[in-house]
Amino acid sequence: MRAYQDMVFATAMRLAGNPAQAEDLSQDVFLKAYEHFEQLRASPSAGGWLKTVATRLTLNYLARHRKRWRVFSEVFTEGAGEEELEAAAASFDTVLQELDGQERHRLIERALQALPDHQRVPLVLFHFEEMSYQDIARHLGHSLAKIKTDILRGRLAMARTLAQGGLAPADRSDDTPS
Amino acid sequence: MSPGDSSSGNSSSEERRARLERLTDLALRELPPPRAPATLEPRVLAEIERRAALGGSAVGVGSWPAAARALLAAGCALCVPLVWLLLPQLDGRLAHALSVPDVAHLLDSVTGTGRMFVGLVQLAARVVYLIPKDWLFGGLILTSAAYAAPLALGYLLLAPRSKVHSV
Repeated sequence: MRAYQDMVFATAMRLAGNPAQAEDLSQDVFLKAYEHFEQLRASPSAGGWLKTVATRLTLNYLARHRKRWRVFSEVFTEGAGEEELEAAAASFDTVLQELDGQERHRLIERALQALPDHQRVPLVLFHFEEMSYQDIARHLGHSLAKIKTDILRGRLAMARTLAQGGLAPADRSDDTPS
Repeated sequence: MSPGDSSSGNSSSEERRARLERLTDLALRELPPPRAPATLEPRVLAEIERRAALGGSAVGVGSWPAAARALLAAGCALCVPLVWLLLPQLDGRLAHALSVPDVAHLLDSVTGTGRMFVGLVQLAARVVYLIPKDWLFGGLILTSAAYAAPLALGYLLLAPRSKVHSV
């Protein structure tokens, strides 16, 4: 369990965005693993199995609350301007090149956690879980266009937070583990 | 040279989006994973011990060992012919049991109570029939609203609010 607990917790934490909920979900994942202990003990793909279950359980949890964030998500469907795209890329570039590792990680983690769920969840699935736009749309029950918009909006919002030095209005540093 | 260093003055919108995607990917993938809290392992072990103490019945049938599940399924399947075979014998014994005076007396009292309930239901039906329909539906709507309003209020005020909920 020790070998995988950080990976399972990280998966749940990045998707759910809430440490307490991520711990509950991680517990559920390991209890499921315990039920399949005989099959998993000698399996070389135990890590992959745990990650898949962690992702699935967290998405199920989020799906139960999807109606609430879908409403908010529908509001932000407009595209991004050229200048906004350029400024966002410049913000990421500056942070990546000019800040040292620890400070950079702190800012990026904070910017990610400051995103609303309807942007953070597809963004995390795309960048951390390496899911395609189509798979994300299928898992979350949204249109492909909306998922693309949400992910783009998420990147732009992260860039804005980074440009402000991580001091986003929805600062949730207390929720973010170091 | 980082992916963001390329000249972008004349790049198209698609190229700008791709550049932003690449930079976001770079930034996110270098993040160290959040560490699991120290409380996670003791929590999981405690829950496993609790379940073990409760025995196999505390977990779902789906997680039972295959042999136990097969045994349960066989037992359930066996019940059907068993009931089929025993029913005729049970029927004869039941008729005999009902003829015993104490049991017959008990049945009479049960039947009497049943008749009383039927009478009450008939009375209620007559009263409802006498009430104008508009009044009846109005009253139903008001009663439903009176029940639903505090429930909705309670849900809004007391529902657990994790970050996911509060978006």
